[in-house]
Amino acid sequence: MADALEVEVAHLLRRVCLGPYPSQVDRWRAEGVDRLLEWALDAAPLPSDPEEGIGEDDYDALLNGWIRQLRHPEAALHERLTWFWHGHLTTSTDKASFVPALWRQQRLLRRHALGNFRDLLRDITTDAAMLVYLDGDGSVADAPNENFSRELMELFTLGRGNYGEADVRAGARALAGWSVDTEDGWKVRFTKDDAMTGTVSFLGREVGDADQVVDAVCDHPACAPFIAAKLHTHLVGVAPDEARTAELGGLFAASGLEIKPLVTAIVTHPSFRDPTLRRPRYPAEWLAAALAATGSVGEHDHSDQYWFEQIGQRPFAPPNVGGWPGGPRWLSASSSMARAGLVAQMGPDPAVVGPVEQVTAVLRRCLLFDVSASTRTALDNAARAIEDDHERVLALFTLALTSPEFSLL
Amino acid sequence: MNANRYDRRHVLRLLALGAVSIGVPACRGGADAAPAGSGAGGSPPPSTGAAAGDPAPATPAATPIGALAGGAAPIAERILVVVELNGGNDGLATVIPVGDGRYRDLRPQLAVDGSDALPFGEGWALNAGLAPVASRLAALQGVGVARPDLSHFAMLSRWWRGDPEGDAGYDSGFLGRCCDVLAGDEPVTGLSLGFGATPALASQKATTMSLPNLDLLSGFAGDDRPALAVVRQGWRTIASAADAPPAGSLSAPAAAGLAGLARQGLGAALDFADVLAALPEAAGGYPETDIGRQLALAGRLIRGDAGVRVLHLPYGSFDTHDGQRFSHDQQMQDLGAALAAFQRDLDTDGYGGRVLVATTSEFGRRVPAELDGTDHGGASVMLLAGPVRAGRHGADPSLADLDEHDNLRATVNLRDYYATLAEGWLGVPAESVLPAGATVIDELLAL
Repeated sequence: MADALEVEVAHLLRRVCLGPYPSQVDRWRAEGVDRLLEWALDAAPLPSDPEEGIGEDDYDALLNGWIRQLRHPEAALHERLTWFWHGHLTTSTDKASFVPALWRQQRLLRRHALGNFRDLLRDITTDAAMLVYLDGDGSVADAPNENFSRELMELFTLGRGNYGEADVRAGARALAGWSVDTEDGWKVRFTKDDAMTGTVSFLGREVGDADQVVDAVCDHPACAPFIAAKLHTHLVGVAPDEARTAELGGLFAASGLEIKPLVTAIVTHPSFRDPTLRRPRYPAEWLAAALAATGSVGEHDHSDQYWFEQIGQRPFAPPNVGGWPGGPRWLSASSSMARAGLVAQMGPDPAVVGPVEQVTAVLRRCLLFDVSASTRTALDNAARAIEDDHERVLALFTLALTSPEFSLL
Repeated sequence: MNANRYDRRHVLRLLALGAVSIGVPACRGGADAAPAGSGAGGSPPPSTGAAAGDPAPATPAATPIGALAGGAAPIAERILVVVELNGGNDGLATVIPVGDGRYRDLRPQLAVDGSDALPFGEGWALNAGLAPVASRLAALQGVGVARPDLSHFAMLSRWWRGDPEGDAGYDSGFLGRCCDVLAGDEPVTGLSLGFGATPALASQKATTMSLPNLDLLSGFAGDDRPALAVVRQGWRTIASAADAPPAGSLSAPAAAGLAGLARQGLGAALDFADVLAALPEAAGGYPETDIGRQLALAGRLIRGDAGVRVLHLPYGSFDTHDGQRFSHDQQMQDLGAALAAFQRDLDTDGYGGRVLVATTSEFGRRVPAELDGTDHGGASVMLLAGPVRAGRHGADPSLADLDEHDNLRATVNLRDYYATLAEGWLGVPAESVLPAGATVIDELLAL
């Protein structure tokens, strides 16, 4: 029988890691929950290959590289935050199609994942893939493109109601002058003649270049609570109430927009430890966790691009500039069907389960220590009914990985 | 499955709602009604309940061209296919004001001349990519809202929810509400052929889902793996546990609600997987494009009598801030070719009169171009393909009277466009799914 500590450790691992490894439960059960959280916050970033060596349309290399990081046994909050920022400051291959530049952007997000938000925003503003995705590339001050300026405020920092159309236009002017040389490895250039001269009034202050635009949005009182609330929603599964938003926003602003103290405040709060399952496990999270549980690494009929695509959440292919929406839509019939189909193709190896107590063993592999009676019954019945070892283990994993418990965080 | 399995009950239900009488179109007037207003193209719908700020009529559109297409099927057999043009489709590059000098002045790098496009009434041309379906294509000009917003997300939300001014307080989608009225014993009433559920199909009681393709069906249906029957039994056990309080960490109300949704999803998938496994093969002739594959699957679902009444196809990337001419033309060409294949497919088995295709898009584009692209705009043209009166409808937008952001002003409110799809086509009373005042535009459909 699972004990309470085991249940709590498993729950925390599900929330801090994308693809928690079964062996981690024993480790942290021995060392304790506080040590687990310290590890999750302090774990060094995983190694990341440089962009050189990635072919210009080698999308598989990009996704294989990323899924290896997401489901790595040592992947902790740093990897989760890198993934979070990709959904927040998102970019799509629809427009930014040069894979080395996408990997460059992913490495940028990794570099700042638990660092300083202002630095992150400054770098992403003149990142090649972002410049191409939101049309900063080639924007000139005389007829500036408004796309990035608008999304910078609406989606990335402030939220609607905190700026006006005049700010969108002014921001676009101050952001002009940058371009991406698509003939030369997507190097980013700044052309003084295309940029504005003097300053323009933006969010109540005078700005004259991209850094000053970034400073203006970062210093705006709506920015810190906006980011804090979004991060809390991702990590805890529910939006913070007004008081908690103000508290976290105040802490974030006071730290000079340092991300790690904000994340620390969120994950050490009782609401993070509370074992109530509060949101769907989003598709890429489910995929990383399912691959970790089944022990499926490498050697498949399909590339990782296929897995991500079928599950409905392909990195660098968000539905739009708002990233992937949250909420219960990911519990729909379509998700169930896709997940069941993928488990069949993962072909779990019976060796990861062992010959005895297979139902419990499969559930433990999935970090499920506390399942509903119906889920347990479904697995028990399947264990009794299927003779063939491979088919039985496949059936048990299929049921466990599509159960309501595994589908939620 | 029998094509008419759900029909009788649906008709009885609609009769009970007072929405239809058998054999008579639900919309006012029907096929022979004289188009209202000035010109054969008609004016915008009567502004019932017109509030200040409602779109005002502009120049009446010219006489629709093209023949009246074949008649529509009885109301209970009809299917709506909504193609959502993601990102904000440029109406002025879709139905093009080639005869207006201001068009060339405002868009020097984007303007086409008449010879690049299909004549579409005096002074207007249709994007050449849509030529293969032009004879069965109606274009409703100037569709938008009274107080537009320039944010994708604000406008998507209004379009998805059927909430023109963003103040109606709906928490379901317009198509989802239509499904709630239409729902019978079919396993799935509304289906999106895209990745991830769409808020447009969010419903109260109808089962709606999304399904980008059938690649993964083998994990869920089929009889090549005996163990699959055991797994399916297990899924039934889990799915039917909805009423029992879940144990342990799922017992909190919020989690129980989410677990209930997960169980419902599993149950619906089981039911629908059987239908999907029995679908006919795809017809030939579809182009190998995203929209070609989506419409080929839609054709299989329709010809296979899967019971789906509302299909939703997210398509493309129309947010053409840059490089618009090429990408927009290419997408129109892909859309036109795929729609032509779809109509041939449906006609082959006599399904053509049952299916109306209608586009949506969150907004049009800024009228003055920004080099070779356009910014977020206002009103735009909506396209309808199937049993329609081909040609231009509504009131043409004016390039001389732009709003304060240099965008087109709406001449038709989106609620009236939606009323035409809901009540005019599906027989779903407009007042049950849309804000007050939504009125069917009679002239569009050939019923």
